[in-house]
Amino acid sequence: MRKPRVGIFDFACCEGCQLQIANMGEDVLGLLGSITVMEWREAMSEQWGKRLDIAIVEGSITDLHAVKRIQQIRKRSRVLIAYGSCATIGGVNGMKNNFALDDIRKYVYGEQFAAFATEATKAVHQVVKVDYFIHGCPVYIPEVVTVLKNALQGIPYYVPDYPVCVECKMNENVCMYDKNVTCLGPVTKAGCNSWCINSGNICYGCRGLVSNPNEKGAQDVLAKYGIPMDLILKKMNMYNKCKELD
Amino acid sequence: MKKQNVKINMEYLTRVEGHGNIVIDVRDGKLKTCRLDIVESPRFFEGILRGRSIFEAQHITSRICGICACGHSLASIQAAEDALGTGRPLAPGSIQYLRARP
Repeated sequence: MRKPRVGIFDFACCEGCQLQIANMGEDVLGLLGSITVMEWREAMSEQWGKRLDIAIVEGSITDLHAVKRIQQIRKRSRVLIAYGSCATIGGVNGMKNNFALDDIRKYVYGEQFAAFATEATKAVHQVVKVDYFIHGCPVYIPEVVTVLKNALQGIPYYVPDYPVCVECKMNENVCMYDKNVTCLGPVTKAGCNSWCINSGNICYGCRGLVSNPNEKGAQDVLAKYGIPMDLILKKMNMYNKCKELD
Repeated sequence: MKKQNVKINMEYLTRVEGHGNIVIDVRDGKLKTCRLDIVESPRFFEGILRGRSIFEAQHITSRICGICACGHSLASIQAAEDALGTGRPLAPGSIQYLRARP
């Protein structure tokens, strides 16, 4: 049996999530033993352009050229995986949607702004059908391995729909709020093993909001620690701005 | 020297961050066209950073490029330090300390 053909594609993004595959370490050998990478612009020169079994798509859709390209990729691949925050929830590119498009174009490029075509940022699933989601900015490699295993076997993968706090508590971290720092753990989807908080950083909410965030609970926590509401709302739209287009 | 014709139309530069095309056209040994097209849609980092806290700025600017995220992080932190007018704290062992040493 031939090995599944995989293509890795990028749209507007930093391409750090693809780099995570290259940084996988030992796992990458096992991965390459079970798939054939046909296209991967960041790491190889070869092009394929024909049918694929799995397309891994990174980055958000920010112009009409990208819309056409993603539709082409969807057409020639059996399974499409949205890979990394930019693809799954819009990511930091979504912050652009906070401003009027022409204003921000003028601010950055001056009077010549018309030369830089752009559209409101969209996540991949807002343009074409997506079969698997791998959240994270950057992606968490153990999760990538799990999703790829599932995709190769054709079984679904469900992103955990409980907050990061669950994993964080199991990792026995001291709560960031007790250190007087705002953290988005209480409302963000888990699955990253509270990676950032384990390393002393806060949760920036890169995996997107849980489907049913406990707003009242979050308000109580904010009130208890005397944190203004607009601070946390601003932090939330760092990654979640594109959600409004769902 | 022999006069050569060279035509390169390279769609998508590989092994770099960002999408670029290179077009080179040499006719009879003379360069007619030499162009680097950046075809990726801009992401407006200068614009989206407006109104953000300096503590968030570093997190955002490191997303400019996943390959050289460290450089963008450091630049952002240095800009924040300059804005605050605190100068570089020379804590022993810090990167600034190592760089300040002769």
